[in-house]
Amino acid sequence: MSGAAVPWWRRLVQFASLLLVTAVLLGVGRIGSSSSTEAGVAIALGLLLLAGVLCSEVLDIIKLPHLTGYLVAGVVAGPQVLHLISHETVGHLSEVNTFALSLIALAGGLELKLSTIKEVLKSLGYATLVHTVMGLTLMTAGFVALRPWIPFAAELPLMGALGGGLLWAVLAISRSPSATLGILSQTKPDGPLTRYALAFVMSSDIVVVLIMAAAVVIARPLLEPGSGISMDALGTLGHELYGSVSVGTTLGLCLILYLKLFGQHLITLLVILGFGFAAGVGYLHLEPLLTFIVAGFVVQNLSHQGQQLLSAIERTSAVVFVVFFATAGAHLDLQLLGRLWPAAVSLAVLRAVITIVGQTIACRMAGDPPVLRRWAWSPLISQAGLTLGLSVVIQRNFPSLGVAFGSLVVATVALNEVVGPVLFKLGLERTNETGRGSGAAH
Amino acid sequence: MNPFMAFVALLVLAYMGGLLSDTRIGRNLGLASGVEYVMLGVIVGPHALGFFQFETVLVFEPLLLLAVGWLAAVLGLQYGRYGGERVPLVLLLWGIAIALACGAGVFCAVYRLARLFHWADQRACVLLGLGAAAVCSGSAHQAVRWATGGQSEERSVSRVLGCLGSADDLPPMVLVACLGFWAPRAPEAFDGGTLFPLMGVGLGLVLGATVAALLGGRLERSEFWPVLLGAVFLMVGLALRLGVPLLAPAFVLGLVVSILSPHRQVIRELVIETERPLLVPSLLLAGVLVDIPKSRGEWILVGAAVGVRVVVQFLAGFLLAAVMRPLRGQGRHLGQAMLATGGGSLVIALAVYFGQPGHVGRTVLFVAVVATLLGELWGGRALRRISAREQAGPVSEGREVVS
Repeated sequence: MSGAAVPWWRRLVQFASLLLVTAVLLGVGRIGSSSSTEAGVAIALGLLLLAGVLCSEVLDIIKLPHLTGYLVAGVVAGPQVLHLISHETVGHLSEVNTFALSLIALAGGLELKLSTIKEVLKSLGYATLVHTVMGLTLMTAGFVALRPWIPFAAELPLMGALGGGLLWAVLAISRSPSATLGILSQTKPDGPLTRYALAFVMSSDIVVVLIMAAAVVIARPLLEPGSGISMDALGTLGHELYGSVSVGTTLGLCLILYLKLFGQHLITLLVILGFGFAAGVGYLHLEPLLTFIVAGFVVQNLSHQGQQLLSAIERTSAVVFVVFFATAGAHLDLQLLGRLWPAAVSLAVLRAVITIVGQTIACRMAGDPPVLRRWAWSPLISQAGLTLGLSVVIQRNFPSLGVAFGSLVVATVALNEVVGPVLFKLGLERTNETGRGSGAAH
Repeated sequence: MNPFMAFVALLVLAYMGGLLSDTRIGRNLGLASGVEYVMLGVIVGPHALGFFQFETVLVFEPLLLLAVGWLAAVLGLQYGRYGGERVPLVLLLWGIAIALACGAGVFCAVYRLARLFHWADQRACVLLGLGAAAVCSGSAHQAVRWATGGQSEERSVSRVLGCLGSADDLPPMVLVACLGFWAPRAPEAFDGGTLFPLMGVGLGLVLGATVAALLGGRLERSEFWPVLLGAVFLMVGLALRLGVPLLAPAFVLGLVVSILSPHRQVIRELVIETERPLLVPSLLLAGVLVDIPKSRGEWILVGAAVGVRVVVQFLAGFLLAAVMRPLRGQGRHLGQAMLATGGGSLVIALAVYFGQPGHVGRTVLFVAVVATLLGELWGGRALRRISAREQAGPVSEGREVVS
């Protein structure tokens, strides 16, 4: 669906359809009597799917990624702009979002081949080290320096600001598996950047979860003077990680068995996993993203059935990505972004600079090829669900940081969510990896 | 059972249903209409084992409505097609005429009896008559395919039955759309005049044309599912918001896509795979919702609706046998076989149940279950007999009927 291949009249039809659907919805919204939840959810899902695809096609003209189109559709249709979808309905869509995220994580694990990891192991090691050390240090320092302009941090004492900065820095080194897979699904690339992006973004999820637990332990005495270092958080982390890996491995083995014995009705099976199993994982207080990544990784690397499962997920990916990112767009609070934009923009720019510099240093240390030295940072800017999930953990552990902390995270993630996919797509195009993957012919 | 457990159980059931229905064992054990899932629903429902309560099912109302809307769109996409080919015009008209006759007969009988028994006010009696007519007027082409194992293209009688079954989906949808004219509207609802319920059908036309235009000259899988799913979900939501029956607009949407899109065949093949996995849990939930009538008057109403259906289908069978030379002497078998109904009727009943809660919805659902059960026991057997005879003997000359 490259922009050049689509005739102008088709673009016109798409644009006209978008206007028509919006006009119909505005008209019905004016005369419709029912405000039932069922009607709201059905309209929201339908609108996000339809408008998401249409917007992505229209924005394809200026070479923007489809994910951006989905986000724009969500923002415009959402409660902030046209109010075709209400706040309440957006909340009801969160279960659909959990389903989408589970499938995205499973696909992420399936994309992680041991051979790929071995190929980029050296780069992966250096990048993880540099991003962790440099990212945490500089981002914490930057947060402390920008403190006067950050609403909730202005009143914090220096030690408290250091604690808050450390937690912020952990969020800053988190990436977005969903955005990475979304772009890969659209552009069907292959090459060094693709393989590196997959390996790094997926594995960094595990690293960030580990660092987050350590940061919570260290930040507590800084933010709450008088309290000592508690190992409870590490114990909780141990349970979470061990449980997630164990359940993920078991799920992966069960999937292998199923694929070998039956191998049919995979879409229904995925729906069961996405809704039923994901809810079970949540009930056990495990990390769903990690569980599904591990399950996918096990299927891919311990059997020959990985491609079969991946193909099934790819068949649903069109719907999954549209729903996930369009819902994320509808969630975006533009008023909040308007209020916090100076701090959000400063922190987002600082994070981007640290990421680019850190990645360049890591690539030099690992002796990576020029293509990676130049563009390996591009998949690392996006942030989405994982970061927001981690911020909820921080707010739960440190209520003193207040709602403002969460709001600033949302505002910063919103910026990275919009800019990140554009940069990654640009990187793939500039390295000529777009369209080289196995699925490109379809 | 809490709603989450119920949901997972339903998903697993849908999966098992899909898995079983693909196998020969499944075909031998299962029934063409899927009424066994309705019975299972009755057994696990509040009237028997009590695993599922009414309240649990009502939690799934949004999902059920989406499923019902999608299934109606799938019916629209398949309308007028049987075995991958277009139904000949003469059979299309026959199918519509038989369904209209059946619907008219059932409506008159149910309405008259309901008025006679002072069952409810006039409006409710009209709604009950229309609902019963809608669920009783169709027959199931899926049943023919099921009974013949998909081999009916070469067999004349079963093919005629399959074509008739595919053609008679339209009148029930018209009847369901008519419910909107009589259904009580909320006081704060927009007064769009008497033709207001047709707005839903108009929206179906607009969205169907939009989908066809968007899919355009080439079909990209990455666009197809979000566009079609999005349009159907939007249609369902808009119908609910406007307070008009949702089945007819979704059916029209599917029908328009089927007429306008150059990819109609590929689209049908893609969506048909979704039919069974959606139908199975919907039928189970329909079974849970079944409320056995308590008064003798309601039993008489149900009996009248099903009785009229039997009479009209037998008459139609004899008429067909008299008019179409290759079908001569088969009137009784045709009449029996046309009693087979199935998922389509139950889906219509579910939509009426949610659209007209209370006495009307409950009675219509019960009529649908009884008609389906009877059709399965009587019509299904006749279909299998016809199929077995065709497979045993030489292919009859009746192929010319549909060529």
